Amino acid sequence: MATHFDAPGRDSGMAWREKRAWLGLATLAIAYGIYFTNVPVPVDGLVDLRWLFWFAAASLGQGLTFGLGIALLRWRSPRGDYAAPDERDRAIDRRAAAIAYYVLMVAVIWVGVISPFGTSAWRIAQGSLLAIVTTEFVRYGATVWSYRRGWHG
Amino acid sequence: MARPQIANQIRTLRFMAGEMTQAELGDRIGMTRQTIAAIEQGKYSPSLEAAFRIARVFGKPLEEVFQWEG
Amino acid sequence: MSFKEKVLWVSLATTIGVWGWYFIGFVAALAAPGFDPGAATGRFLGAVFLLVVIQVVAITALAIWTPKEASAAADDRDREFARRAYVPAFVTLSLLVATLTVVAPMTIMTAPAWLGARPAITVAIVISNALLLSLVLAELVRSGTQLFLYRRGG
Repeated sequence: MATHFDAPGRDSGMAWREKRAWLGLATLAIAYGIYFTNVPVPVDGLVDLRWLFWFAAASLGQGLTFGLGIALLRWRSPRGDYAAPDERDRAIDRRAAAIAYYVLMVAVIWVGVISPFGTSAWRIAQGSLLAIVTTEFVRYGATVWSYRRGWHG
Repeated sequence: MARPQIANQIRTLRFMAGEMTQAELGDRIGMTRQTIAAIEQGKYSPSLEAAFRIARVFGKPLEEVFQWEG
Repeated sequence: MSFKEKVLWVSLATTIGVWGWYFIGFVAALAAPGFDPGAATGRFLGAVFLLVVIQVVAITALAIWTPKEASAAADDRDREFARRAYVPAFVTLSLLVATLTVVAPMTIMTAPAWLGARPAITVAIVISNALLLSLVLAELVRSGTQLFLYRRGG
């Protein structure tokens, strides 16, 4: 039960880095959801330069909206909230990195080592992008999960 | 759900220390308000060093602030 | 030196040795006339086999030499060092793969200029090997970070 000496003040009770992770999840899902459903797949040997437009749009779009979101979060949060990470933030960051590392490793082995036996260079390149995006999604997801459910480091 | 093995009396001790807020305690030991809240709710176990710093703020021995339930 | 640390040294040495031999050979084969994709694949499978065999033999020998240490569970320090090593390893792997994601399509687009007489599948093989190198470097960073922490004492 919240009392006056627990008053959260201007923030919502959610750790700043958790808010950042939610923002990351949302911007990744939107930007790369649009990218992977629209990027043209060229016939092998004939690279479609429309790819460059879609890739630039997705990466710049995600980067800009994420950056704007961070600026907004900082403006709305007490300074102490987004100062240097404390030990819980670091412990959760390490946990998320560990999970994401194995996801990326498996994805890279699949894309770069197993699937090339019978696929085009273009698909390998797109596969590596999908691997990175999936990994970042998992990392943000693990971060949110750890803040929500607790993590004892 | 992460299972806490360490209980604590931080909330009670804060109240007894002139109704210290979570933010005030966090500022004194270098942690965010949300981390203090997570410790009180059993969602995070602080490091040994952080536990000692918390105990020092209240002027209590470690065992009066944290109890091992493992 | 703890058992875990000894295993890390074995892992580091065999990774550098086997994959160093593999990538030097791959670059040499690529630069030489008459690149054979089949031979490159065979060399890769050989490297994997060699790595597994050497590591199994070395770690088994270590376990026989120090059975008590080998059967001990990882303690707090081992777990803490392992956790701390994931961050630089993850940063390394994701930066390398992200770079490749941008460079790979450029490599494909410019293939006619550098392929020469090599078969078209060479492009896919080059990109795959770049991804493999990223994995190897990330694992070296992970082992190296843990070893640094063991040597420094945390």
